[in-house]
Amino acid sequence: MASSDRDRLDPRLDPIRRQARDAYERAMLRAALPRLWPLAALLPAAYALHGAPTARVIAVALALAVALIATAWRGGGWRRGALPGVLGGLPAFVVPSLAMPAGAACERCVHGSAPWMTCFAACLITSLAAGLALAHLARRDPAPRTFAASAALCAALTAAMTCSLAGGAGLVGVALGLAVSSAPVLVWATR
Amino acid sequence: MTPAARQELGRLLGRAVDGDRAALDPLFAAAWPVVRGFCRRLVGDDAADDAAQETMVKLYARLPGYDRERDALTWILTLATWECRTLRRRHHRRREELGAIPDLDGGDRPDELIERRQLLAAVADVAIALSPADAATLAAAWTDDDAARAAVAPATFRKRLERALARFRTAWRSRHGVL
Repeated sequence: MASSDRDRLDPRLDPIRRQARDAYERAMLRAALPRLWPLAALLPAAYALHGAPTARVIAVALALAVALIATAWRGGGWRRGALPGVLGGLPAFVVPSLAMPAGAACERCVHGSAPWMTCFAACLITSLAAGLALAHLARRDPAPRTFAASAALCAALTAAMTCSLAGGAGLVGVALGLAVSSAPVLVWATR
Repeated sequence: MTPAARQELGRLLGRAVDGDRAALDPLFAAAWPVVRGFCRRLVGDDAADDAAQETMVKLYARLPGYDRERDALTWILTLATWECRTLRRRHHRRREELGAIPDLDGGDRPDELIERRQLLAAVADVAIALSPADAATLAAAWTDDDAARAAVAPATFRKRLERALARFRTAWRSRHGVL
């Protein structure tokens, strides 16, 4: 038996192995913290586009923070997909403030009204485009499924930071767009 | 280490840096014998396990910052070298702390002096292998360090000394066989 095989089976080394693993997980978590930087730009932008940050915007920002840290800590395709996902969510992040009359007046947003429908359609189309771009990137990644899942999660949360007040239209748009455009990737990856 | 094993080590390190937890155990299995052997050459058999353990923990803690352009084995052995140096310095400091062990009673003939010095060196060697708390208790007892004794209640000090001596006896027996 090779010496490395002996060490693999040696139970006396288990405490050292556990200690090393714990150190690794702590280090991965520490290394994940700088990945929060997109929030530093997104939060002021959400504030500028939608006025005072509401509890929902803060809740979505917190969810995005958790997603960014978790994906960076997990590594691999999860980590690689997070930032493209945030970028992919940016069109739907901006669209509501452009589509609504008089700038980003969320109070004027009435569900089912013509501007709301325009906003929803714009979110859907831009999110579809973003989803297609993400799907293209995912296909080139060594772990396409985790890349696509991470990108979809981060894109949806990024878009939801401004769209949450507009009845989640943007969120639905991003989710639909990514689901439709990511389906071929998921099918391709399983083959 | 063969070039293939070295390449495999680099590949495992790359996977671990990328977040692949499945590579952690094979990496440990591949790196431990190399690190253990290297540490044994640097600090001797007795301290090799401690140095290798510290190196492995440091290695895993620094994995996220590993530059893939660097040679994996060189990086690991550099970490091991630093850990061995740190361990040697720590032992040196503790040896100095224990250096004030009072001289044993005996004659002044040269052979008796040499014998006494060898015995004291053996005592210090066993004592530094104990935990820092045990070593400090023994040093306080052997040097009649009143300040260290006064830091705790007399009964607590007696209890600590009793336990430290028990562990010292066990360590002495495992190293020299008799007490």
